Amino acid sequence: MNYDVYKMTKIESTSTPFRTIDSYICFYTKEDRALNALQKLCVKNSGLKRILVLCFVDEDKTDLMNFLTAQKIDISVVELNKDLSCNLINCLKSIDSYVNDKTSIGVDISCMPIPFFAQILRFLYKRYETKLITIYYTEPVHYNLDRLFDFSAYNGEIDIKAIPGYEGKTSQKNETQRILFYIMGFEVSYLNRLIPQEINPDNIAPINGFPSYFPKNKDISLINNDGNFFEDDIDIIYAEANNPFETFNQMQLLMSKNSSYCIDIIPAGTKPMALGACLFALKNGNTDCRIIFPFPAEYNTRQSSGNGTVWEYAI
Amino acid sequence: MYNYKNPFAEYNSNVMSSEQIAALFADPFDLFDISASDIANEKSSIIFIGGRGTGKTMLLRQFSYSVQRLSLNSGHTYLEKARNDKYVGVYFRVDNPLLRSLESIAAYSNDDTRFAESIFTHYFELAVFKEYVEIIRTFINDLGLTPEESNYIKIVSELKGLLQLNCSLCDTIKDIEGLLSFVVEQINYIWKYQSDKAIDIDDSVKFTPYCGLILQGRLTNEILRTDIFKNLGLDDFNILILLDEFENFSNIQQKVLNTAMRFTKEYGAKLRIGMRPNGFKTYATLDDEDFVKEGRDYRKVEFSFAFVKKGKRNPYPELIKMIAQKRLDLVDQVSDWNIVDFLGREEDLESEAKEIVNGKTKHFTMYLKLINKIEMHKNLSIDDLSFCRDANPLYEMECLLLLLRGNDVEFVKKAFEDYKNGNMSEEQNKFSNDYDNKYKLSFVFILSSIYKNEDKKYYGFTDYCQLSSGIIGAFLELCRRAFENAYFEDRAALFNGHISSDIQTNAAYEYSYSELDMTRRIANHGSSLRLFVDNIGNAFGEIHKDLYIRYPETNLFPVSTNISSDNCDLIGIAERWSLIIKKPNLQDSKANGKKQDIYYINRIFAPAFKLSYRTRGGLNPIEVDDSYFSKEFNPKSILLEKKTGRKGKAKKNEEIEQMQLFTGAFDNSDVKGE
Repeated sequence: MNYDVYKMTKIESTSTPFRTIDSYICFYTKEDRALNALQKLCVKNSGLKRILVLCFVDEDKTDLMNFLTAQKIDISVVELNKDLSCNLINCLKSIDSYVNDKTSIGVDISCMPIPFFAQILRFLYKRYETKLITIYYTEPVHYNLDRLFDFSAYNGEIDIKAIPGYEGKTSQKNETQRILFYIMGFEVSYLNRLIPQEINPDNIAPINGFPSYFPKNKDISLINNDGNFFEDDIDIIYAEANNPFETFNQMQLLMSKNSSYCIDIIPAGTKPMALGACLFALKNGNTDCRIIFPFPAEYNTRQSSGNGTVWEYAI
Repeated sequence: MYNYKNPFAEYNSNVMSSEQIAALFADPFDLFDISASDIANEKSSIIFIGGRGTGKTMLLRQFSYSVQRLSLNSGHTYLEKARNDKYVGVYFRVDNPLLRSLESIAAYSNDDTRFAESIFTHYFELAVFKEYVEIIRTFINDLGLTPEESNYIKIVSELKGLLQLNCSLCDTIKDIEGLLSFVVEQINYIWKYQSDKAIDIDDSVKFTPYCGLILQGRLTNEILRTDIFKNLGLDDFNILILLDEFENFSNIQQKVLNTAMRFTKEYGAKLRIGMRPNGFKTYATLDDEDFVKEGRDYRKVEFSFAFVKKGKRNPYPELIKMIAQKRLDLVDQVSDWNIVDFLGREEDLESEAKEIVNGKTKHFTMYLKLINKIEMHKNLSIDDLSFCRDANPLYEMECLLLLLRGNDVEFVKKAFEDYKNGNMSEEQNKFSNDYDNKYKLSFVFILSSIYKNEDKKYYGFTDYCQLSSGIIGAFLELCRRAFENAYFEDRAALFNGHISSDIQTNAAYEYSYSELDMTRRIANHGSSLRLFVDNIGNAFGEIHKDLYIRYPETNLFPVSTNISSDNCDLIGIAERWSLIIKKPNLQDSKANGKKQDIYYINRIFAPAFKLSYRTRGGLNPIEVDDSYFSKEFNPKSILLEKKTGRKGKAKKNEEIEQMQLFTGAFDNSDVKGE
């Protein structure tokens, strides 16, 4: 079945036509889904000419190299520091050398840390304003949860700050209130404490992924975030976990209802929802809208297992 | 019933509206060394130092323009109030993500420190100036001035002069609204530069504000040299910059603010700063040769309750009763009672001990094993201890402890009998002194560690008061959780002015674990701090289980002078986050006999580690060294070390040097903030 309303396509079989992509950017980790969409593209022989693989410096790349050497495609690998706060300028330069007005570009965000794809997206959006970008995303089959609920995408200490390029127009407005669009995820407890301490939003609009990949997921994120929402009068907003456009639309709606507020966004949920948040922030670049991210000491690169549905989003 | 709102739901003063601040602020000045007029009028800067939740933000915001104008007398304008108060306050709090963003701008310029200083100065001047303009706009409105009037034109012209606008820009700004928009635009330009720089792969983006970078004090201080305020009838008048969360500013940013502090005494706006302990990252100023110094450049006010006037009772319990009452009064369903009605005055240790023991005798068998190791008691059987059996297990514990400490059976028997019958004797005096003044609470901890079926309870106003460690925010959070749980578990009792001890205890445990969990997430040092708190908490926990009660209820510790510099820094950060709290003055450390700083673990961690909620003087068995920051640390080693050299007969009167805290039964007046 194809969903055209939002320009998102569910890739159900190899017979489904992919959009023609000649340049492809992905992020490699040891998660099963890291190369899933790329493998499908290669099988389909969809005209892919160049692949730029980003990965962390200390990642074991044996599987990746085995796969890539079998492909007769121009391939480059860019290694990035495991600190998600690292400066991406050199990476963006590499991307820029891959892209021009004539290339059609695909970005696989399945395993790409949110601050990285947010910055890459913004770079492409600003530099190639009219270019159509295709985003690929493979859902996981399982998230690696301990004791039913515990999940750690981010290990060690957390440093909450704005994703570079998404600082908003944050003047110190003592009398202007801030609302937090908080995309709920599984991460236990850190936001429960840090949101009030570091950000102190005047209002919170929690957004939960529903329908989620699996019915239990939406409940786990509710349970793991209960500390944020002890106030009786907070309504939870729902947006489909795999649909960035739904998140985007919900945020547009929330913004119109809270027009006097400055907006902070914490994308702690699924990557498609984070993508929706980035699109929202880019579209509303003239307002005071900031994306804040809990930068961890160490990013956990094995958050999930299995290959679920593959989605193609045209933005 | 349906419009009930938890009276303690709003406990974070950062997110309270000005109206809430005005309604909930409890005036503490009668109790403190510093007066409201000092804060408003003192020439030099004042720094309020206190841990998280001690009320710094509430105090600073109370002096802010937005709260100040809510307390106008009827028919009076804000301008009239400012003339009368002789100050206006600009509250300025910059959240952490924003400060980090400002800091990271320098990263795009090869970490150029001077550029980072300049851009922060530029931001600070513009951001504070914007607040000034907003206040002046209020004054203009109060006077009913219109853009055509000469006084209005003069004020706007002087403000434009401060901004040093060129002619073409100057002409485009016609009124105060235009001026305000211009300033906001200039602030936004900083963020635009940063966003552009994040994707500037050609290095083509340069920072070019309208007239170059604004220098220190050019707006924030120079405004007081103009005639603007004089023309508004404001003579001999202070502008207070109420700068919150100073500890969040980076080293470079603090240098900029220290420079402002350094020169504020001569002229310019007065800084009133809220800061956590050890919040100074640097004392340096922008001038490499200069630095700020307490007394000369600022007055330090410890925002704990250590700065209480000498000779006065500790004001903390009275203050929090007052704060709680303001909140209770706002909610109909609970407004008929005070906080002590809800929580009860103090815990009932005897009932708690009975619940724990529940008719069992395990404490006898455990003590007897140790007592039999003493030569004089080696043949003592459990039947011989029948004289100590009592409905109150705490009496039994006192008898067992006396035996364990080498007193003979006849002495203990007489002591107990005389105590129960009210007969004065030397033996009775010993029993009474130990039981009533020293060990009653320790016995409950030991019983709960022996039986393990019941955790130690933490309830009552006194317990909550102590658990909060002098941190008002912690007390409010304890109450919030207790009221929240009570609403769901026993609403009828809640609306009848009572919350059960179990509900209160659960709230205390929930909060304790949640605070403990939070330590792991403290930026940059969370894991190390969590490890340290776990180690020190578990070490004290082990001492609380000691059947000999050699160090009753201890939670105090000095820090070894041989500690590594990294761990010394961690101690400072732990103090800043109120994980540990420093006692006000240097004290004798019994660990090494020297005078040194003594700390105690934040008492909110007491439930998590099963510790006493009180801080008592006496022996410090623990001196924190580098091992307390190690994963290999063994908390049981503390007592093992202390047992070395004590083999054989137990020493009589092992409680020597133990300070007496209580004079008779536990009295609420003994609640002491440190």
